[in-house]
Amino acid sequence: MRALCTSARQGSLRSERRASIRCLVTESAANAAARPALTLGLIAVIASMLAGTALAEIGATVSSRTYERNLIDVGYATLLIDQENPAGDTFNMKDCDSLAPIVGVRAAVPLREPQPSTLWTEGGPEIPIRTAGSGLLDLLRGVDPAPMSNWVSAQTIVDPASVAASSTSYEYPLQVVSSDGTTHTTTALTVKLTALGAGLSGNLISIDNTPGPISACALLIDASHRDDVFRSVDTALPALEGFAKRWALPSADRFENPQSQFERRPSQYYWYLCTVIFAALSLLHLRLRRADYALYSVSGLDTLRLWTLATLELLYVSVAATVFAVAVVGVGILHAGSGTPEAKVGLQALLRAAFSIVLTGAIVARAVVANNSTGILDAIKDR
Amino acid sequence: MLINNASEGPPPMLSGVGLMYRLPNGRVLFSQVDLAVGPGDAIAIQGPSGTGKSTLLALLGGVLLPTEGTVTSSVTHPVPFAWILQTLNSLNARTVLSNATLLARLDGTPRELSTSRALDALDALDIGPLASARSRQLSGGELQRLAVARALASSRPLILADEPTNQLDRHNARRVMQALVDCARTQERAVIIVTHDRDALPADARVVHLSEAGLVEV
Repeated sequence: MRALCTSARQGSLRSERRASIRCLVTESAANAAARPALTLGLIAVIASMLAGTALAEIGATVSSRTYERNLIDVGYATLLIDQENPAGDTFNMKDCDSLAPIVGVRAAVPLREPQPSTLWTEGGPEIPIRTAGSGLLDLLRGVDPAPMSNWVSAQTIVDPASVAASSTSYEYPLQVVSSDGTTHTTTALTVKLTALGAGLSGNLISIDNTPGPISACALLIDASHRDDVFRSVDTALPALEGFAKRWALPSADRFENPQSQFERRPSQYYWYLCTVIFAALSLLHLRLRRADYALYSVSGLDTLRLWTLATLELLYVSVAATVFAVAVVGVGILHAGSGTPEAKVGLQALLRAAFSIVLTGAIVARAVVANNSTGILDAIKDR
Repeated sequence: MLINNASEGPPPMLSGVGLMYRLPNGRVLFSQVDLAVGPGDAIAIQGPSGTGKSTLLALLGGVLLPTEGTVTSSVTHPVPFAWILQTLNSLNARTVLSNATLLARLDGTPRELSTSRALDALDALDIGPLASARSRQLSGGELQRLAVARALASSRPLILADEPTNQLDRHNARRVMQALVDCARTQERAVIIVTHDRDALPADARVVHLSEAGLVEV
């Protein structure tokens, strides 16, 4: 004889109720199949959300790649050769100039580390100015000057001898003479000294051809010769060790960095949206079915098994929707001919969203079931 | 008062001793209630509204805590109770047969056996022809009979029924009560029925009356 319920023990029977997992799996499948319209509707909605998330991510990736490719293809590319030797005295002005004759190089610009300098005001603030060789003039000729007025951070070219570089004008024509004696006119930007922050001050450039060590060499290259020049640099600098090559986009300040653009894409947050919508849908769905769950509770399912049942019902829908979405996205990828990286990004987004909704389904089911476990008492009280 | 017709035979399947229940407002619904049921017992609990018949059922079913007293059982079935309630009658998207086999399914009864039992129970309650219909298509009275059929089709040793005939006509009410009593007697199960409908009970059914003073056999 066992005590079912004394004044000190309530509900002991309820904890003994049991139904096998297999039984719950069958039961939940039968419940899902008993409402074909609702089940298929949920699958369609969830699959649409998942596929939408994946396709948006693929779209953002393709767009970012296209954007980057377009940037590179706009006429020229800039190759930066940095001195990596800590001693820093092996890479000099002559090394950079020796790269100018390489076929495809439009300009070779030696660059030195910024040096503090006082400009127009006696006793005024010291401003770091980067020194560049006269190849900068070739670079200026090669670059479309129109976007210069759109530069975000002032890549200001300073004419130390000119009084025009004052705070009274924002833009002024700068006439510079190259090493062969020709004169070029370009646009220089000026900024107020009081507006110069640490970030801006590093962009002040002065032109100086004094021989000696440099910190970097910038090559402006025809897009069609990018690969050839990239290889030729190694041949042209046989004695130089400790340098690194990297591509920089022309007029980069005019554009958003492709990586930044990709990292800020809205589609990366779509899975949050998916999760929230699914949480609302599943909550509504389970709330509408609370009478069923109350009956299961009365029939002997404890909270854990009731939770399992409800979670399984949502799981079937989620898994079916995921499979359907993967199929749709897969067909879309094949049809559009997108590459593997794009497909990978899309699939990752889809699976992340799918995992999230499965987890959300379990949490929502737990919340609903927790409020549904007193079916008998409620039924008696309802009378 | 101890009511136990099994005192001479095997131990009771379910017994409550010295049960008292006090409402949160301090009112004592009943006290000193002793009740025991054994295999083959079918007991109807009657009494005026508000005397706590359904509460007593909830105490015996282990879903409410008695203020005083103890409820014990000798039943080894992991889920001993089949409840028949006035609400929570069906899974409305499933068929009548699926609903009737619910308890048996949850208990792991083989499919053929549970289906056979369910069809017998549905036939006994005159809703056999509706077996393949969706339960949402049933009337209130049919749903109530479905709830009874679900309990009958299970193998759970204790059936607790709370007003199982209040939506039924006289003919069907008698049919339901007779089926419950027959089930207890032929299958060695115990049935406790809370009802106001004494006329629906078989003439030989045991009836007890609940009042504040306790339980009295009528």
